Amino acid sequence: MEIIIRNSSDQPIYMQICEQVKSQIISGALAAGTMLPSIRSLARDLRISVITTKRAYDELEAEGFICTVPGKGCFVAEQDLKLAQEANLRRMEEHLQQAAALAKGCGVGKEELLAMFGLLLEEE
Amino acid sequence: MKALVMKDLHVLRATLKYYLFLIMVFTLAMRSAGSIFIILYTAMLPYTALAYDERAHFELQATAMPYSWRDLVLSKYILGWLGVIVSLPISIAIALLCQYLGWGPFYIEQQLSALFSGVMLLAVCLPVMFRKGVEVGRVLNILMVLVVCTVAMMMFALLGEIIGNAVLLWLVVAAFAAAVSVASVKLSEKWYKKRIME
Amino acid sequence: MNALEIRGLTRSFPGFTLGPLDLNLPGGCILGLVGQNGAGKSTTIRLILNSLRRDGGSIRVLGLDNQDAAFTQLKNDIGVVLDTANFPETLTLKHIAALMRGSYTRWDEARFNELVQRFGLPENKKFRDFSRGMQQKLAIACALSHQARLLILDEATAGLDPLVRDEILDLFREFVADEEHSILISSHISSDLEKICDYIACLHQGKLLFTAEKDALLEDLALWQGSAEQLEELADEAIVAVQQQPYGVTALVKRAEMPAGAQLEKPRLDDVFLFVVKQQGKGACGK
Repeated sequence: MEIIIRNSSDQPIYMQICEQVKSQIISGALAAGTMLPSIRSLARDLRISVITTKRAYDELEAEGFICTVPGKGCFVAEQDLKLAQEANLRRMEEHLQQAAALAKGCGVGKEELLAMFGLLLEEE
Repeated sequence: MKALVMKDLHVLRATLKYYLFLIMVFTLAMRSAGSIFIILYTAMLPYTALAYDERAHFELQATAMPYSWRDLVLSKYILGWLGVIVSLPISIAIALLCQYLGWGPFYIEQQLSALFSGVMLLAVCLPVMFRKGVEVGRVLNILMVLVVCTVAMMMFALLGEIIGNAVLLWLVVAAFAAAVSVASVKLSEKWYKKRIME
Repeated sequence: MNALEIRGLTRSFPGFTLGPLDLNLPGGCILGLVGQNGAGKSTTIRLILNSLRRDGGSIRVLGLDNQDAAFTQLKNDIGVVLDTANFPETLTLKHIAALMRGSYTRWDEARFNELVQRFGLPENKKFRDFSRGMQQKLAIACALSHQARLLILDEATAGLDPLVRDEILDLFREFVADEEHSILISSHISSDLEKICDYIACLHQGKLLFTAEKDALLEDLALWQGSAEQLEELADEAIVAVQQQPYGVTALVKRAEMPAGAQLEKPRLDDVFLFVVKQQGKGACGK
């Protein structure tokens, strides 16, 4: 498992952890049944707050990405990848909607927006 | 508690070397009377230890450790009592040596009355030190040494005349010193706690 | 269980009053007490150790009232580092180790030796010849070597150079890897606290300005810069504190209350502290 915390990022630390773990689960880098480090050891190794780490794990658990077995630890849950993929598509749509609304609000036209998006995709 | 006393002995290591030197000076200067000063001087070692503690604010460290106020004050008394008891045979040895050299006669009463004075000195002065701090206490101490020693030695002599029997006299004196010391420890505990906690 | 529970704590001195103070340190967490020199951090810590009389309120340490007779023995479970190390000057490291060994029921000599070696502390030097950094390191080594469950650290990292400071912070993180362990750490260096704490309590002139979960605090707040006119347009409830700059205004704002697209920067704990303290001086209270 790889997690990189960026203090400069606007995204809250717990979300950074969530996102990175999720994407590794979806990409298959973290297979179902893999044991995750305990909250305390992850907090220590990432040098971040225990509370934040716990919040990230809680979030991941609530979304069904991981499950906690009391007394044993946290494990990557069996994933319905199709479902996860759908969730991702839904989120993409949301973000694009936001971008569209913002563009409309400040008078950026369709062509300009599409060009911008094309540029972004090429950069990747 | 033993660790606290050991700590004071380590702190006083340099002072103790100086102390050996003083024993020689006192003995040479005052002949057999000097052997008494050794005991009285030892009774003042706790003040020196306390002075080192105060300079370092050791009381802040000590109160963070598993020690009660009683432990903290009692350790200084034990240091003092240990001092006078250890210095008694040294004092007797010096007095005997003086007698051998023809510098003066040896009376065991002289040493015992000094021992009594030493214990009384601790009992009277330590509460003042704990209450006022060593710097203020030291000035008072010089006065008190004179008063306490004079009174204690007079008392010892007076009781000796009244009681007559030497063994009984020592028992009475020891009981008196013990009672005063117990009261003194209690007073020190109360005063020290009050001073630090304000 | 809370490792530390302070309720309505007060203590007055001529010219300075501490409290009333309410503070919680949940077990397994690190609580940072941030404040300028003279804000009352050391006084609070002495009150917690019951080496200072309190005027009112209650303090429970590891579940026990600190005025209980059993508190003396409970100090075996508390590792303390004071803002200045307080050992008589003629003692050496060996003597101090002997004092600790004879004082704590669960003294761990091997652990102490390991730390002494790691810190490179001299064995036969007298304490008065120790540098401030070495004194602090020795005090930290002592506090970590008697199997305490709670560490109380008063400016423990103040005299240390940055490299050593990081190493020491790692030791503290290691300490709380055990969920039974907790730390109260005070400092006027908020960057150290930002690195290590779960909760932050901000003390100013004897009063608590705020207590908060550190990450949530820094994520909920943001720094915003703009002109005085732009500031007028912002919703009142979005603004926590404002500072006039020569060419504009900087404000500490609530991220959630700001309009979408506003240029926001993540604040440092130091920023939050300074904003709130300065705002306090103006009479208005932020958060």
